[in-house]
Amino acid sequence: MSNQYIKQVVNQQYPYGFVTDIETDTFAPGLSPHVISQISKRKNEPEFMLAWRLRAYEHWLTLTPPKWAHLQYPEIDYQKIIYYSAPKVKKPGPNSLEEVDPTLIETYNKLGIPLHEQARLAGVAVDAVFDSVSVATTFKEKLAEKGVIFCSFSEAVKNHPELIEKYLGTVVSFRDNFFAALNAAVFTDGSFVYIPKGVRCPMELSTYFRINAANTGQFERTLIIADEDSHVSYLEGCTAPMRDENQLHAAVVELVALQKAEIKYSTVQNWYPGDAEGRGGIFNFVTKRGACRGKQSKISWTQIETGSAITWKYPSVILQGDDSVGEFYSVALTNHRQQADTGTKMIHIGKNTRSTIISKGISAGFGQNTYRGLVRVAPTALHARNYTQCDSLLLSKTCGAHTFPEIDVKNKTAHIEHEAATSRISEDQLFYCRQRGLTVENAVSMIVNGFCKQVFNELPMEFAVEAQKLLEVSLEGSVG
Amino acid sequence: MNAIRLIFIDAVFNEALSQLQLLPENVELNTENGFSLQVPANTKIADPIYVYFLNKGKNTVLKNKIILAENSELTLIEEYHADHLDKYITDVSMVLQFGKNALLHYAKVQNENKKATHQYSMQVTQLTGSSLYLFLTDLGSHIAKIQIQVNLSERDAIFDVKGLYFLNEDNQYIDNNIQVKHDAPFSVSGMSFKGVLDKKSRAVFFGKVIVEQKAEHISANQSNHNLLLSSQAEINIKPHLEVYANEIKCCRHGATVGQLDKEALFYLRSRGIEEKMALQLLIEGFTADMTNQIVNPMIRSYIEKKVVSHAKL
Amino acid sequence: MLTIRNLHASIQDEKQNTKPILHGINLDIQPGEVHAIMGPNGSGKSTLANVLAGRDHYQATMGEIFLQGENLLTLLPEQRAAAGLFLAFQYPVEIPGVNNMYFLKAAVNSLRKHRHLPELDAMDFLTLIKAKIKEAKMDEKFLHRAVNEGFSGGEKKRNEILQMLMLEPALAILDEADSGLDIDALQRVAEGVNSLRNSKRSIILITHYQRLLNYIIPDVVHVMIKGKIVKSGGKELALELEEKGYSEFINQVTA
Repeated sequence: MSNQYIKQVVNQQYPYGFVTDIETDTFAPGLSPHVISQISKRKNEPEFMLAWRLRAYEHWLTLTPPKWAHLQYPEIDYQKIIYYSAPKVKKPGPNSLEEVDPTLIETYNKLGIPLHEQARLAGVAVDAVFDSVSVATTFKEKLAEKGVIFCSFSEAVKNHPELIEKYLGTVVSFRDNFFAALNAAVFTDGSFVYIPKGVRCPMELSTYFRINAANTGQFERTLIIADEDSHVSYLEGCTAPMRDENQLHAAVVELVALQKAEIKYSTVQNWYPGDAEGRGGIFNFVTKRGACRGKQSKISWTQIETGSAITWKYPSVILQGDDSVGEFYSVALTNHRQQADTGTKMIHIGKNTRSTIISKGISAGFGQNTYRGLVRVAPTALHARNYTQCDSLLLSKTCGAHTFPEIDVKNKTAHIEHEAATSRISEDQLFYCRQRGLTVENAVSMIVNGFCKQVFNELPMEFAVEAQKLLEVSLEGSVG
Repeated sequence: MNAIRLIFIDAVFNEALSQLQLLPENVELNTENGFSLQVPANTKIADPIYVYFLNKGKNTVLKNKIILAENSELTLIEEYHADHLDKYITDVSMVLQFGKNALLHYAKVQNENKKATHQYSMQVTQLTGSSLYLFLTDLGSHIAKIQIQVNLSERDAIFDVKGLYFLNEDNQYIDNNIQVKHDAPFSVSGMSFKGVLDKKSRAVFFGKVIVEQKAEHISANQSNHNLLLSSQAEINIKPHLEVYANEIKCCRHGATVGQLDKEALFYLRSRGIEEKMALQLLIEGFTADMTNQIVNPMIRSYIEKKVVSHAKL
Repeated sequence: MLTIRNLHASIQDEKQNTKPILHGINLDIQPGEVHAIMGPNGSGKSTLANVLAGRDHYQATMGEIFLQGENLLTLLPEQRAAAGLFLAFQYPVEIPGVNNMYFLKAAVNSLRKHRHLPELDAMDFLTLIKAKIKEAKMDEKFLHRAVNEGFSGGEKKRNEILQMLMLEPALAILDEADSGLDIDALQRVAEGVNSLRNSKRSIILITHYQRLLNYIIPDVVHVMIKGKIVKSGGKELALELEEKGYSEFINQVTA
């Protein structure tokens, strides 16, 4: 864009930056086998969980943080992080919304999360994770009728240990990477979903994550199992207060789709991105992976990444079952000093497996945006197909857009297509819109939205609107 | 071909077989450990120089260098070949230095025997308005490792590399590693490769384009298309792009992996063409698209001949 | 309506080289008039359109332009649009992912805001656009496609006319509205333009050929050669040009 368009609009403040004043049960900072066993104890976990956590910790000690990503950040002192912080409750666990601390409910209202009646209206069942602990899951009864289990991870460990033991760590092993190992050792809560055979989950399931306490790391773990011939759409949203120091978020998400099952996982990630100078913000180091274990199963990831100081995540799909389908739709926006290194891995193992990758990166301000992707076709994956399109849009002279794809094919029947383009907003498009009376800001936002359309189309309706708004807010002050 | 021949046998210059007398007088040539050519300013050498490296069994290390002064022009074909079937190593380093507006059409034909290891590294520095049109043809060798580093440090420089690689032996391996750095505005780079892989062969392609902040209005394109003829062939492609500049014309990359179009094959056979021939026609079509793009007609016809005779199944 | 006084303009390329194109254009267009500006390729016709609309890199180096009393040269492109200027592009731009209807609604309401009119709500807008799309003889399915994306040449030009019908400009400039159109499409475009003709609206037709002027009869015809208007006259002038070609005028200028 030519200089005359460069126009700094006053930045809108991060609207979710408030801190909730709430009494918490908080550990001292630091990580040790003792802390881990305390976490396990607090959560009344069965033996196998603690053993697993400690094995993960042992393994973590042997690892070093990954350096290969196109990211720059100061070293994290893992002994300065608080690994457990939970809102204090009078009873061991809330049985209904009435028992949840009203300040918390108020917080969620501020965040616009439909917890009460809104939930039913919106048809969304919500699990909310506040700092480290899941505080409320709405709509449980209605789901229970269908046999759907949707609860906090802790509850699942308590009530469905057989499912946890069977599936936990089978998609993302604690050996997978540094942050996955750390998460396995210290994760405190998260969401659990089980959809039984033949059930189409009657509503969208949703989790909101919130980091509130200072110096706290959030390590949640989500496990979704879609049994044969079932279907579920799951939404995830995240926010955090504005704080000057960085906070670590190292989550793990595991999805398992059995024969003919379908999981659609949508994320609107709006963790606090830090201020315009790059102070504060969430370090979002997340491992997300799905396994299409059964024939004709399908896993679809859609993500809108506008928050976090640093995003490091690659929602991936392992296509084991024949005829299974993996999808990845992503919009990642980096403004100011934000950095994102995100993308996906599609691992084709089964026959006739298909995958689609649509990635749209938008860089503004001093933002650095990296797409990193791997498409691998194993010798067994006869007639595998992949289509990848990764486009980047540059909105400032000081930002960066990087594309690091890798294609690895070991089967001649594979059909792989990869396209990528990096461009700035075209002057022709901008002039055309302005000739029709639109201001530069409106024109840019319209063109950017158009750029992201393919991805927005994949989001459930109410999320799509939210995503569009989020993009506009995140872009403000970036036009130039 | 009407060319000025320079012949090296096991890295030793053979004056008797070469045609030094055809070389314009103001061109400086040094033939120790490979060739070093220096073309003075405003000199346009009409006939192509053909450098032929024949291996007779020794491991060779070659240090080649071409310096093109301002406004000079040169067409050069370089070929590697062996007259035996034993193992050997060819290790080449090539330095290319371009003065302002210098132009080089450069074709490299790697036709080593199928037991050879061919290592090739190239460093390119280009000044304002200079152009390098490079065409790499890899027909032979057991292992080929090609590494090219280009620095487009001044405006309006053009770097264009195209290439074809054919692998048709078990455990044959090629690794193309090309890095282009745009460090100045209005520079242009193109990287376009096609590969045909048969048997249990493996190809790696790693293309990296870096666009520095001051490199505005540049364009950079990368493409890589592969044909897998055997179920054991493997391909690994990494078309990387790092962009730090805003005002870019376009930066694109595309990659595909596939097998021969069955429909087309059937169509040809239904017209009475036997399968082997039909396959060959399709492969020729696939690669012709690449050779057709060679700008220099002398190089084009030379490469076309090489490719066609090689691609005979 | 439009007054252009001694307009000189240059185009600047991306390497910051400037090239003077217009060398002293004078033009007076009264409300209700249709003016055709004809000239060979490279005579500066499209440059004039772009200078009027305020495109980047098209710089007026001397002279003035007034549209309904407003000094256009001080205004941003969107402000010129608000002032009533509409440019039908020679090559309408594709905007992937942006719904045509959504785009038009944003444009209509943006202009209404500038003009201190209340914005149209979704219902009113829908009623309006349905009427207009009928007028433009276009299929409603175009409303749901991305702006100009995948449109044929004729569809793009008709989409320009639809936008013009919606935005109801005071001055419409049609840059080579007939290029690439077959006779049917040309007639449709002409019908659209003619339906917009009224005593308050002025139109500038920029064209290389006389063909379009069989369907849209101009009040005044100007011949532009090498950045200057060398002759103005009635509609007969276009016929004369058709017959004799531009060479006579070119010789005049170079002589």
